[in-house]
Amino acid sequence: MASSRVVLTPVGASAIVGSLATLLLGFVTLNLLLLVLPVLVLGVVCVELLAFDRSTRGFGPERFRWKRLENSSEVGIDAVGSMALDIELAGPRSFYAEVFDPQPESFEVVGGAPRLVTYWRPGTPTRLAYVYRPRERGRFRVGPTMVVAHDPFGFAFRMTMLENRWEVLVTPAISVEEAMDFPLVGGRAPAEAYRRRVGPGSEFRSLREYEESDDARKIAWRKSGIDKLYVRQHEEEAHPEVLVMIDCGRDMRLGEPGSECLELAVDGGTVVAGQAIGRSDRVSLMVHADQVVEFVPPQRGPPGADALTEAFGRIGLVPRPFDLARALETATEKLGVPTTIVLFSTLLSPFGAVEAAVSRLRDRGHRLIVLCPEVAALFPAEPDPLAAAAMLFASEPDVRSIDRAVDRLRAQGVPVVRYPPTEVREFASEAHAWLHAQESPL
Amino acid sequence: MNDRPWLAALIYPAPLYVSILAVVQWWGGSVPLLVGFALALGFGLLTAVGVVHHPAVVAGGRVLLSFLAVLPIALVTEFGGASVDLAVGVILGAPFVWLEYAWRADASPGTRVLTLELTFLLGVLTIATGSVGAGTTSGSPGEQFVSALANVLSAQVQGIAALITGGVATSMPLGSALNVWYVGLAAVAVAGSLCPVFLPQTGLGEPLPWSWGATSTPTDSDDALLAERLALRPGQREALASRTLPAAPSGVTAPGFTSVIIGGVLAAAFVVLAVGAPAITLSVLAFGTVAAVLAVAMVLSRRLAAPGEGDADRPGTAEAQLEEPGPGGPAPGGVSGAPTVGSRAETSPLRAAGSASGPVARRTEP
Repeated sequence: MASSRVVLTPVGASAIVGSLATLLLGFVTLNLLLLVLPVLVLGVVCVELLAFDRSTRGFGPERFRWKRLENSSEVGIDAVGSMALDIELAGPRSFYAEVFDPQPESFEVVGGAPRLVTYWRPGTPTRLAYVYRPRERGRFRVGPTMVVAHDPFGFAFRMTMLENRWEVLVTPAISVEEAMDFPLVGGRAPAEAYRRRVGPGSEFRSLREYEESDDARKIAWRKSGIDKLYVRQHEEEAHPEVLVMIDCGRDMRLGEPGSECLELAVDGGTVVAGQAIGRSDRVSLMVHADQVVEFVPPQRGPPGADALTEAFGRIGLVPRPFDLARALETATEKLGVPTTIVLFSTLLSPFGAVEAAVSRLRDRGHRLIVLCPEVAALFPAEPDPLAAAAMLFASEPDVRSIDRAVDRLRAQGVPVVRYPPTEVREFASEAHAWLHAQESPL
Repeated sequence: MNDRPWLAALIYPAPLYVSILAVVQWWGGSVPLLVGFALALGFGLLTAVGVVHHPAVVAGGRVLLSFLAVLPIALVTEFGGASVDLAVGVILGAPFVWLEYAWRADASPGTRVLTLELTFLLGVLTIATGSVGAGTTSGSPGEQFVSALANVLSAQVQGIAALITGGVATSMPLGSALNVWYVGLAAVAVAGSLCPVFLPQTGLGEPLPWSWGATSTPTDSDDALLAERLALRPGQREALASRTLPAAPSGVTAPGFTSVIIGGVLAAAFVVLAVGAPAITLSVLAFGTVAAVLAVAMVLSRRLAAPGEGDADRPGTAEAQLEEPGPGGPAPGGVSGAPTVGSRAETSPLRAAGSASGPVARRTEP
């Protein structure tokens, strides 16, 4: 956007109006002293405005050459990101300028400054640089940079914007724990627990002849003939696969700003993912509302942690309800090996045919565990008894709905863990440890 | 309050001079006149220096002084000599009640100019009243002053009416009421009041960098310490350390000084014209004012581009464009300005393993 005209400030307007009003008084009295004062002030203001217009003629984005450098595109939450911007004025005249790089409110500037007011000469490079600490997860946009030319006396200004928006992804922190820190599994060190043998897994081992009990999906059609069928044998992995499933439907907005159920879910999910990766497990991520928003295939190791971190950073609320049955069906389709699914959801959305979906999930060898926040504890207790009673009354339908959903799932043999909002990381960590203990290959 | 009290001290001598002259000329031993003058002068000074600052008290005092000044004169037949003397005393001290608006730090240029003009108007009225005289020795000093003031205003109105109807003004007492000392002091008052207006600042009063003579390039030594504390990468440290700090224009004169000079020249030319060719002065002034206002209006209304022609919709010129945007950086549709190193996650150092709440143990991109 170019500044299309000189904009008069209140100071400039008051100078013009005041001098015209005093000129009127002077006309009434015809006194030289009373006429000279407004002539002086009006003269200075008008000359200054005309001079400012001339010095900033053609003021617009074309007048500038700019380059962003050392700009962070991905920053961990509570870590430090940087922004730097080189701008050069390509016009013939100097003027006072204010350069401002707008950032989101959740970015706390900890060094440098995103704003500069200086006298700008043509050809003189100007560098704006600052470091910031993001306080919220998500995708944010910095810029566009605004440049304001100021009249030296504050009578007027001109403004333009440099279209240099920059996207920053603020990701949650995934804590990757060392596998050695974990206790022995079944009496053996974790490294030894990984034994190559036939079983459910993703790594191919050999072919054998087809038997009636074999899963038809494992038939190796290219190697098979008309009279003989072969199936692929895979190596069983002692490190199970984990799918972190995040409900991003509209019911996940419950909670105080900054601590909504979705943020709790992301927090818990990063703990599970971090611990799983630390133990050399493969971790996948599915973000689901009424349909899949994002699916990250199984990942492992530091590159996997990177990919998952980015995906966690992109998670945002979707203004549609969560369809648990469909989410489980989708997971069943996408997962090739028996996987433990850790679902973070409020379970507020109405259920569909979830029993059938859970049953199909089990048939494929998958397991489901649900972590659900205690809705009643999402908001701080009200000191006023009347307010507390009102809050209780307002939240009661949701609490009952969730209780029914929990009962339905537990009736299907699905473990549902209700966690206090302030302890999501601890509960997620414990849940994963419990899962891993259950998954012992022996 | 003003952060430059010495400027305020330049403003008071002019109204003080003409007020004291008038008091000396008109008081005639009248104590109420002196009391009225002292009341107005004292109240004005107390509010100006902030001794009396409660808004209700300030407003109440001004309203009371207004009543004291207007009522006795409007109802002179009812109130009589002493109250009229008091009213005249208040009128003579009236400029001090509002004079603080000519130098307060938060006063806009328009407020300053208007305050000065009203102060000078009262001074000119006082001088004219002293020149015309009461024409009678009966009545109290206040009544004589009011009588003289009425004569002045009446003559002025008749003169203006004559000019408007195309006739010749036989007498314009306000137009010819000038005192050399008063003009000199008024010039000093104008300088004191308008000096802060003509200093480099933004429209919000934020000072713009400026200093006499050339200055060295400022640096911020805290940036280096901060970069080390935050464990920034070398490229980031270099960018932060080399950021531009506010720079002042080099040169002896303040920016915009030329406009002040030209404005002064215009005012001086007007004075010369008024003295040398008074017959055409008013016409020239009127046409000049209209031309100036029209020129400013054209500047304010001129558009560089038609509405809706956003620069975001057209690509940057070859001059503006340095490199094509790199991957993952600028939003789609952005005009040039290449990101160079779009660094990945910048994270704090690896924390101890085993901490469920410990964040951020990740490598950074080189």
